[in-house]
Amino acid sequence: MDWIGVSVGAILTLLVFSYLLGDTPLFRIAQAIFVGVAIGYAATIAINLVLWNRLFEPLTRDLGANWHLFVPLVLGVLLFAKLRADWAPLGNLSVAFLFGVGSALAIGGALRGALVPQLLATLVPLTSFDNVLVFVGTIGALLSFRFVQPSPNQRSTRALDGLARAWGAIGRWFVLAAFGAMFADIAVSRISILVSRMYYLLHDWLQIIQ
Amino acid sequence: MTWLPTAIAIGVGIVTLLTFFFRLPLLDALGAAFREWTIVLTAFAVLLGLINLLAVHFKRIARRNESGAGYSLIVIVTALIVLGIGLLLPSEMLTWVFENMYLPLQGAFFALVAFFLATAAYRALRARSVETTVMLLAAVIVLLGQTPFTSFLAQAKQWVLFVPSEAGVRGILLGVALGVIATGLRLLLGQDRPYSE
Repeated sequence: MDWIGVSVGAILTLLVFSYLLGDTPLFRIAQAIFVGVAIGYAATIAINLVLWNRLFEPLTRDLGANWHLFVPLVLGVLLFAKLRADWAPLGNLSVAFLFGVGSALAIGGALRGALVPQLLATLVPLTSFDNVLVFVGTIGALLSFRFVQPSPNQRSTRALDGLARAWGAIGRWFVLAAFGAMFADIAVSRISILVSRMYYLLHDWLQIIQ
Repeated sequence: MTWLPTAIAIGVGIVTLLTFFFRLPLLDALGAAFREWTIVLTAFAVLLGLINLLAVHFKRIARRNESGAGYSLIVIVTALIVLGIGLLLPSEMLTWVFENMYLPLQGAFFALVAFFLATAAYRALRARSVETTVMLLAAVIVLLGQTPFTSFLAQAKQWVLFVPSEAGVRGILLGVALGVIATGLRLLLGQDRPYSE
């Protein structure tokens, strides 16, 4: 059974690697299998771990205590109205619920997980050259994504805009350094995965290396 | 009735947002319930996505002359087999599918990216602009800093990661956070209504 599993995995790996020879039908087959397996697996997890465990099992076990779960059940059923164009407005209620909670969680997450911690980490005493560089680079990187046109008539606004543009131009170099570091990190991780795939083929499957 | 989706989005959104700032028993209970319902609704959305994807591929097969109909058949058959295994057979069989089909395919696709990254680096080198040179210089220092050649390279890598790169990433993160907050507030104030389309 284990050998069959390893062989299946090895053949699928070779199908994917056939892309190195071009966009071959073998690669397309691997793509189709991957999409099929991924959506089948995701649907199974959604049914077994979420819909059964968190909705249908509590409802069938104790209806009185879990009556509030009828709300997501009704909203979930309404979601399927999106499959027909003339019923689609009914599904808007469920989508609105998802957008409402989702946007609130996104705001809370952005405040707690990114904005406040990153600002606190930037506001350090400028007692060393590295701290000054981090401060200048952070504000500059933020300003480099600024696409606002100043009012042409106000001299003070134009002066501030010139300062922001100059600082943003410096910040652009910091963004490029960040992209380079990210590129290197991704390259290392992908090469590690490539080595592990080769080891899988040569050790686990063909058993020609120890 | 077009006001009802907007009212739902604003109502549940503001209650959920308030749970980040206030500790009140009723508010906490409502926030927890909304989060739980969202998880359940997301599972329904996954099933809706599955049905929609299968419908698209069924239509492609039905139009007989369309290219790629064979691949659509593979998608449908594979998805239904995996779904059947997950719902009808013991969980060990689904684990077998995950370990011997999903993981090898995912690993192979990720490994393929290594070749494309090498091609991208070569093209960036050929572009010969100052920007790409700075980017590649940072990349080379971070790459070589992970090899045991010299301690100088390791120190240079640490400096690149913790000074210029950190400043750049922090600026990007702050920009993304501000963008998320602005977009979220527009939704909660009813100025954007993507759910009414």
